[in-house]
Amino acid sequence: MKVMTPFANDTESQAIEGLTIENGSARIVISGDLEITKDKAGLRHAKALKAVITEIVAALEAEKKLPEYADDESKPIAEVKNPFEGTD
Amino acid sequence: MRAAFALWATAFLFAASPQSPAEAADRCPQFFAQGQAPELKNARLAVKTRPLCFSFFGVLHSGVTRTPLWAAEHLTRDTLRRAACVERVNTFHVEDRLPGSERAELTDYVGSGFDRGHLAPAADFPTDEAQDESFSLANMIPQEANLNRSLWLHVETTVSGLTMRYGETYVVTGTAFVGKNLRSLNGRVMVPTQVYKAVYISALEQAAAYFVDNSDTPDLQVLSISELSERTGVDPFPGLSAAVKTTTMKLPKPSNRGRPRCRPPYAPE
Repeated sequence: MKVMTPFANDTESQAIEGLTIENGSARIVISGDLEITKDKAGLRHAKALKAVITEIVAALEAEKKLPEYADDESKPIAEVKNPFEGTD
Repeated sequence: MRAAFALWATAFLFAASPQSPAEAADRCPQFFAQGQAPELKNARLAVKTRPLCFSFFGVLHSGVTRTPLWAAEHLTRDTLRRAACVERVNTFHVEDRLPGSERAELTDYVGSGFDRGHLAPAADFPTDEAQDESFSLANMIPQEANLNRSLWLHVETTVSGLTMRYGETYVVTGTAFVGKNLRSLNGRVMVPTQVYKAVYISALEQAAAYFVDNSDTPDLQVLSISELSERTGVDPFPGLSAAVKTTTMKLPKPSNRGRPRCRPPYAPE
């Protein structure tokens, strides 16, 4: 199975059963849940998860200047008037 | 009802005229209960809307909010079984059928703190192509991360479970924009105040909707279709009788149970 390229883009999203791994240039988010069953399907899922984690670790270790903690980079949220409410 | 239908038709023609002839085929009644698209009761919602059809779902996109207003799906047991076996890396992408002035860009979402929340979830779709299509920004809303990753995921999963139990469902997932002001990404992409998932189970001839604030501490409600229409300005199932619309079907508490597991004959080698 194809594996994402960690921290290389803000667009990739990989699913392993109920688990979603979303790539990002600043963070990777793993959400949902995955039941690893004691069968060949479970082994396939475990290997897929391991492959992604291996890539993530390698990408972080390859960074020259990894900060202790990255800054929270959230942009400010702008308010706009609701175009669907009010009188004409 | 006639006025609302006219709005839909107008929106369709508007969308069709400046684009490729392929857009003329862009109507997808197969995803709608009784073949009838959701109706906009609030005429303001219809401004700059464009219907977009994908291989397994249809969307009404707003160039005002730069989000979909709704996404419609017809779910069946068989498509969900096939969907359970699709494994791939997907890519969020700009919807290039929409004009630049009306669509969200990837940069609007990046660093906003909001998740790109699917209206029609990728996990519902049985082919690589259909899953990829669901990553179009025309199917995305700015959704609170905690909602997207837990309660809303459970709502999606539970609706899958209802489909497995009753064989087929019609599902409309949509947004509400309520209040004087709205939050926005870059002043361009508006953040819905609520999201809903309306479900019609044809085998029971019953319907209801999950309705939740787009918040990190969401309070989930179950509404009748008529109550939902009041709150959102959208009737997801205009073809249903008044009796069905005013009766609230009992919906299960959302949980992580309901998606089928990948099994033969659809399982990969």
